[in-house]
Amino acid sequence: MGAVTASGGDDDRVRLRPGELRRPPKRDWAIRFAFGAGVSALAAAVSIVAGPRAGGLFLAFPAILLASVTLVAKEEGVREADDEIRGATLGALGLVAFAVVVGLTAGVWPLWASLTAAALAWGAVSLGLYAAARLVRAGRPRS
Amino acid sequence: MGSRIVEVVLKALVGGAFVLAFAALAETLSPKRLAGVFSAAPSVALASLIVTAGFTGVGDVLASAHGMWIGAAGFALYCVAAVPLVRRWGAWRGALAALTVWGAVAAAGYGLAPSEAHSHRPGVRTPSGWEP
Repeated sequence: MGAVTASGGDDDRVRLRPGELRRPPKRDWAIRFAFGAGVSALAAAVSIVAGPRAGGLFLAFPAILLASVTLVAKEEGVREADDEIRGATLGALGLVAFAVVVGLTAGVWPLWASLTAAALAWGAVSLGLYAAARLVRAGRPRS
Repeated sequence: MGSRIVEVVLKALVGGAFVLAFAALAETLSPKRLAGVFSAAPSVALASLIVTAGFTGVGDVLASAHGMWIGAAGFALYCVAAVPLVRRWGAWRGALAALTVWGAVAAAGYGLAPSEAHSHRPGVRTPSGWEP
């Protein structure tokens, strides 16, 4: 399938497989879009009714993970869903960094620079933690 | 009122599109744990903050970010709670039950954390601070 491989290991190698995009049925993509649109609309409605600080809570609402975990568990099993949640924990810590960077730089920097820095902070924290976790697991003796 | 409806609809469409983009990236990645990182990508946040800046200005972006600090902390604790709950009750019921953790953290954080006077920060421009 022409997978792009990034590091060694038996079944835990980091791979990029563009061909996998054809695998999920269209219904799964529609569900993901619906959850994303729904959470965004909810955050917007809460902002209008209760103010932007309350709406901001829902910018980190785990509805998309909920949809994704359910779809993964149905198609690939609970073990895979479990791994998805463990990965999302690292992504969620990155979200804290994203919000902190926006809170510190928006209004001081141009918004495009603030959001770009925040997105980079998300990537650095979440992918950095993922890499650190892999190193720790690789150093453990196999049972 | 009309512009508020347009704002909600626009956020929904852009948010859905950003979620799809990150989901597509996650779908191509393995192992699953790495793909899971992208299930907590700032897709909804990026979409909402960009549209917010266009409609109501950087003051609201700042206030939203302060709310998001709390929501993101709740998201991380949601994940910690979801792992054992999904194992015990299955994916749908376990992941749904863990939402109570997010709700508790969000409610407590929103009630206890001081509300910052974001609109008084020097240099914050309203109503629109978007600079393409």
